[in-house]
Amino acid sequence: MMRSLATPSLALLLLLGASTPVLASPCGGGSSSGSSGGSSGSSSGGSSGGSSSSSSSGCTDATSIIGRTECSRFGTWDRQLFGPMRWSMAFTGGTSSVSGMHLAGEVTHDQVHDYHLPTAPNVRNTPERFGMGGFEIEGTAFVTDKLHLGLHTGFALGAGDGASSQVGELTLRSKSVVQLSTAGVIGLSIPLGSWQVRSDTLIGLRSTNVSIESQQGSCIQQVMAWNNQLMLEPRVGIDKWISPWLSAGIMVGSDLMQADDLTIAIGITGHTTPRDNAGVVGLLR
Amino acid sequence: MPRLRLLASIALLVMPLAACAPYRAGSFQTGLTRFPEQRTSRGCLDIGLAAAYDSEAEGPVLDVYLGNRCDESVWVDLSALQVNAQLSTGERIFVGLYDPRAELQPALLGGRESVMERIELEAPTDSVVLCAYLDALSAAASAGPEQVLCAEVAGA
Repeated sequence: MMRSLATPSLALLLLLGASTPVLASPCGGGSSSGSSGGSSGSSSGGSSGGSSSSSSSGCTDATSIIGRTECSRFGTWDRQLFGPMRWSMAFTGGTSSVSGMHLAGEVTHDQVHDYHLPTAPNVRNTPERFGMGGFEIEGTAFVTDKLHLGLHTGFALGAGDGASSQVGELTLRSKSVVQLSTAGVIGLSIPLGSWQVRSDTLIGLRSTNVSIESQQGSCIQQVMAWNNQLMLEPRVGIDKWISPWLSAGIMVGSDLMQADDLTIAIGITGHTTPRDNAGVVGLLR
Repeated sequence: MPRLRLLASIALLVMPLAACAPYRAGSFQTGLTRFPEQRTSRGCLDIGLAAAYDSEAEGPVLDVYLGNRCDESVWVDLSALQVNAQLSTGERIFVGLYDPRAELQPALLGGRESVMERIELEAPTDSVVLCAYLDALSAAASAGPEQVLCAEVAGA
């Protein structure tokens, strides 16, 4: 990305996640001052004389010559507002459970029955565990060399025979679940050559839709119940750089707010800077 | 006409994306901007140089194009750039960089990023050729014999 001195346009900056885009070029730079015309051969760059650069405050420079600008200073390309960013998508698998979730509603057989789960004691006839499969995406930005912050959202489906509960004359059995999760991410990334060890903590909300089968005698009905609960899921994993811009990895985590929860995410991550600029060459300072 | 409109729309969509592309080693081009013809590669840096007179400047200006060939960041110190001017008389003198606010400092050029800076020189207005000694520009560019890049001053 070509960069130069001018102060960034905010929208462009947010769009690109780049540090200092410039007026003359969508990605910050282009020829903010045009190129000067001929060198010993002829320059391919355009017209002589500086064009202007401007800042988001509306200040406009008539030139981009260092020392003669009013709105901008040299080296803004070195002062990144955002660090490297990365976007991940992953397929997930694992287990989950609805035990302990508070589910309530009505079901109609010969008459309307209220139900409230969990009841005590639960009568379990099968292990209370669903096999889960899903998809998730995550965007994070580095705020220091190793610390990253971001957002995460995921979707997962689960099926299996859940626990049965006896509520009066009703036998309730959870049959399948759909989970939607949205969370903030805070984590650490530690480069190890072409590998990267990551630990993330997801803090957010998980909504679970449970399909419940209600049986009264020979009458069977299906009802849906929603549960929302906090999500606190630490994860650890490892990424392997497969190109300067892409890494692939695996993470394992468990939502501490949910019983019997285990998530394994296998995914690919795109990086806005190669290898997250983990290295520096040509040390001058 | 509809086809033209379609092509124009595609161009409008693609051109900004091309400009956003990371710098490709040895391409001497970033997005839609090409480096000047006076160019060389030193270590992690692709370097291009052009010189001209600018109505906003008292002396000639030097356009320094830098592209980082590496995935890693590179320290670049433009303040250490040494420039030699050849005058119309044939005389050669070392000239200083115009930097009244002492802005020029070592700065990190990110991996696969590129930048162009326009630097005014404290040089006579009859300068016809400017030569920059590249070794001091970056430790990442100092491998090998000393390298000098010269550009005729456009408009001289």
